[in-house]
Amino acid sequence: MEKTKLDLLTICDYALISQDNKLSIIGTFDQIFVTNLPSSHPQFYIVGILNGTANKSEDLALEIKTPSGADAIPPQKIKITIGPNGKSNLLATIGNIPISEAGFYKIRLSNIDGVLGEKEFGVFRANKQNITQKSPNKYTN
Amino acid sequence: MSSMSTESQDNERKESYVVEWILADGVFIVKSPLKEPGLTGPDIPRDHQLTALKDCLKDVATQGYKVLSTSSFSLTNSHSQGNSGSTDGFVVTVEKK
Repeated sequence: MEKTKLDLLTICDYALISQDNKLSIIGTFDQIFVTNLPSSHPQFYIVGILNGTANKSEDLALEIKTPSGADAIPPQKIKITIGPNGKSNLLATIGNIPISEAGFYKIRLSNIDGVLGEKEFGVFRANKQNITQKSPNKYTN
Repeated sequence: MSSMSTESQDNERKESYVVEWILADGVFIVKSPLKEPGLTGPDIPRDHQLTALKDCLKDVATQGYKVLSTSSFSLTNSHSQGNSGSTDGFVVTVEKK
C-alpha cells in the first residue's frame, strides 16, 4: 500500500471545487502585514493536494502554530478519502484567525505516519503609510 | 455522530473553547464545552448555525467569561468523484471576568 504524500500545501485568498470537481486556487500568499498587534485575519484558505492509495480513507490533522509554538487555533481533524485516481484535495477555510504576534507561523498537515508537510507564512508589522490599499489595516502578499 | 473538544492556552487567564458541529443527516449537532460532559446541545438546523453560536456565546457569558474572539474553520475533502467529508466549527477564545 502506497504511503500518502502531500503534493501541494498552500494558503490563498480563495479556493473552490467546481461542479465537475476541479480545484481552483486564487491569490496565493505567504506574508501578512499588520499595523497593530494583536490582530486577526478575516479569512484565508489552506489547500492541500494529497497523493496515495486509491479509495483509502485516513485521518488527517491540521495545525496552525504561532511563532512561539502555541496553537493559533486548536488542531483540527478530518477523515479524508483518496479518490479512485489516487488523488485527493483538502480545503480548509479559516475565518478571523487571531494573530497575536509577528514572525513565522507554521501550517502543518499530519497523518498517522507523521508530518506530511508544512507551509510557513510570515506576519510583519508595517507602518500605515506603507499600506497603500484604501482602508484595511493589513494586506497580504 | 458528534464530537467536542476543549483547549486551554498556556496563559492562565485565557482559555480557548472549541464549539464544534458535525453534519449528521442534515442536522448540526452543537455541543457547548461549558455544559456537563456527555450532554449535547439542541439539534440545530443548518441555516440556524449562527443562532447556535449566539446561544453558545450567551452560555459563555452567563458562566462568567468574556469573549475575546471568535474564529471559524471548515475543512472539506474532495476528489475526482465528489466530496467525501467535512468538518466545521467555531473557536471561541474567552477570559474569566
